[in-house]
Amino acid sequence: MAVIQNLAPERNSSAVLRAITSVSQRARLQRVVHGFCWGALIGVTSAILCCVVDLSTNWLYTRFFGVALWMISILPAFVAAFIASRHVTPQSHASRYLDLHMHAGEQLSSSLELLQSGRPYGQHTPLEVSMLESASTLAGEVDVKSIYHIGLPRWWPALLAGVLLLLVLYNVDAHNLILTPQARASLPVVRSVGKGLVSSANTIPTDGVDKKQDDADRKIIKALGQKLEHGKMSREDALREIAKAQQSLKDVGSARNAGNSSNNGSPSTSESPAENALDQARDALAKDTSGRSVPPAPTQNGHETGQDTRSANAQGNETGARPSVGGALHGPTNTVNNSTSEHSRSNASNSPGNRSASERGGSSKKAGHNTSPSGGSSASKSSQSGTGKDGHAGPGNSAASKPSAANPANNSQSGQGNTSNGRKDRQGNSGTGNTGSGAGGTRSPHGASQPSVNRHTPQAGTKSINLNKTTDLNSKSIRQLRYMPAGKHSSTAYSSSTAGPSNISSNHGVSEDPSDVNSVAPGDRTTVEDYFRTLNERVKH
Amino acid sequence: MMNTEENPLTAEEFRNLFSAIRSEVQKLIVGQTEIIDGILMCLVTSGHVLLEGVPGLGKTMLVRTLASALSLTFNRIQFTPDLMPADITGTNILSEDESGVKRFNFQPGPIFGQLILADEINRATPKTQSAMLEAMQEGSVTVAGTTYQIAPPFCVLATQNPIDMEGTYPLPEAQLDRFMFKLFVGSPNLPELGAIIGRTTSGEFRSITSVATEADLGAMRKLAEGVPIASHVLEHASRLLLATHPSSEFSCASAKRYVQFGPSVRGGQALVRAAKVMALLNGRFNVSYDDINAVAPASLRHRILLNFDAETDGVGTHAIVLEAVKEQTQLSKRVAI
Repeated sequence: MAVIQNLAPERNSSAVLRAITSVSQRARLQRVVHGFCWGALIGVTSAILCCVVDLSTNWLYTRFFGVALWMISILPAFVAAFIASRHVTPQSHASRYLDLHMHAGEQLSSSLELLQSGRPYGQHTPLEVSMLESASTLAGEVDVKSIYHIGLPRWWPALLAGVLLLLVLYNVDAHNLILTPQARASLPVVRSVGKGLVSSANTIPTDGVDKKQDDADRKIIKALGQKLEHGKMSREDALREIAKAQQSLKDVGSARNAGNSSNNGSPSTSESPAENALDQARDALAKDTSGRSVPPAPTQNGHETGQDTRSANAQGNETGARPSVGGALHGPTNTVNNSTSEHSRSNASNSPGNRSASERGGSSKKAGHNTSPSGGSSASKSSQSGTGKDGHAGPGNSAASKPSAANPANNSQSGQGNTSNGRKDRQGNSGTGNTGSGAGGTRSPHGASQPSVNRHTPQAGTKSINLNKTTDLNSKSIRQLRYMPAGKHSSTAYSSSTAGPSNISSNHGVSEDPSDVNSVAPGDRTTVEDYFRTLNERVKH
Repeated sequence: MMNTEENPLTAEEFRNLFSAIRSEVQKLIVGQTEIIDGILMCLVTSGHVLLEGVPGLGKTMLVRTLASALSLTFNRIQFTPDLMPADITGTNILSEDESGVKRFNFQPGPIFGQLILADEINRATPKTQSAMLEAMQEGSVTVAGTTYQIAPPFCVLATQNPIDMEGTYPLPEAQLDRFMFKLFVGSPNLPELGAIIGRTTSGEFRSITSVATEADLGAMRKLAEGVPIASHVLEHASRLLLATHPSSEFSCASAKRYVQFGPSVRGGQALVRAAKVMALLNGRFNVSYDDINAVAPASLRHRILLNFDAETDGVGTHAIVLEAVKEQTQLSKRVAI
């Protein structure tokens, strides 16, 4: 009996404490659930905003999509839940909550306070003992689950709806359901090129190459590949990215050359596999499976390949341009696209027929390197005749600006076929075709490709371009020169297809993409100056 | 059970005793249950009661019946304007003993009793009214430099008439603060009125028997004092008190506008003491918010001094206390879990 009496106080107190503790734990659990839901709501809302922004601008794609998007959604939820779990509900609060919901008249909270007072049970007054017993009885009747119902917030359907919306937006975005036509058309090609670059980066041969150099090249190639693979971008953007990568490689190569020069006294002349991989990627981007060509890849290092042609289609759509290539295209069906596109300078549809050797010669960089016009320092812009601003297409717009020994057949002067604007202007000084925008035909170098500059192996007889001069002339100035109306400035003939000036408008890697600020090829300054000089001489005469 | 020797009364016995006294009083007094309970609560907690009501509602009979039911001595003092303090407290009288020696002997006044009915207390002058102060607060009387203790239990039940105020002297704040409760004796309703009239005109005599002794009352008082009160309930009582102050952070809107002076600390003490008794009467062993709220109007309303705006707007202290109770209860029951 005495044992039972001794156990009774402990039983009473434990019953009260158990009920209060269970409420406290459920309150904590509830807080975790609510914290998770709130965090999820915030995360999902943020992710939806990211999706919406990305759908409209494509700006966030590479930053927030993929795993990052889910992190935006889920991470706040877990963080909030973790923070909530750190907060323990005080027992006093739990007891008051129990009192309130049990209509217990503050019995449990008073009992808890009595228990926490530290007074021995034997010193309790009969009233206090009675109070503990009553509270214990009450605590035994407590159904914590019914009193403290752990539930999701009332707005959790909205959260679910938000998750569904996020999934929809994500799928819309992931499957490129909302893309510009250009980006959508070129996305598979760009991605495949990106994959190819990644694989190329993994298989770059390391024999005979400096390990550090190899690593740097590999890193650049791999980064570019991943960017292309994951980013949704148009073909032009991809080409621009490749150009940037080439610039990076060039910088690395310059550093390497500097190192070699200091060490060996002679710069390294070897071509790195990474550059080849980039060239191949650019080649791949220049063609797609439908056989269309794309605008030329912007280049900064003078590697103007054979694919970098100014072919165009009759619609003036640069993406629809047929792959042309290299040499001038001759044929009566060469129409000129004098569209507003900045690329239209080179947009001329090509009829089958006279195709330059460059088309056949492929687009390899080596071909570009090795097929520089033998007789001259630069490749001429062939077939630059066109309708000019008037948009009149002349049959047989395929004037090679400069006869080339390499491919004389392609070097047809504009006078033979150029009917641009009804005027023949071999000089190209004031012809309408001199507006640049009216240039038609394919401006491609004779032979296999335009003369490109091998920055590593300057060859005799080739026009060596000083890479350091690439920034001497702003490409915008060049564009202004190109597109100035005929007659206003004689230098507009710089890019026209007419003969004469074309021999100074060698396309030394000049990017055909006017938007490419860095696309001025080395040597352009020289050619413009030459052109002015020649022009002045002719004016005098 | 522990401490049984020290306090033989249990909570259940307390309730039974209380009910027995109430039932005995209600043999003569029809209705007025709240008034009876209030007076009993004041008796248990050694408080004093101010009864306010129009004449003829049975206030004097109520007190007399209560004294009979409790076997307590009962004295009645009819306060008039010419009543002097010595008439209440008593005075030294020169008397001669058997040996012929003359000496001053203290002749106790009517204040020396257990249940004192101070009838129409507001008709006496403030000088006489203040003669009650020491007795009500200290339970003692000082005459000619000699202090005389009043035997417990000592309870003053004062009445005042709210009408016919001409020639009266309203009780000063200090005097009002001595009263634990101020109870309004209302008119009986129709059934009660019929019962009263029928019972008093039939010649039926009902005798009142004593159902509790002075010792029982002491045991009840001791038991009530031991009722535990949790800290948050105590905090609620304090906030409630401060809510009736005009310049407190807990002040309710009415208090800020109409109250000139709020209740003193005695008001809080009365609040908690009465709440403890109320808890026992409600079958609990601890004080709850409801107990505090239940006794708040009776405990606080006579301690609030209103300003002129309240008089012009016709606002009473009872309404202010009720507003404070409502506001503070909502705050206290808002458990952040």
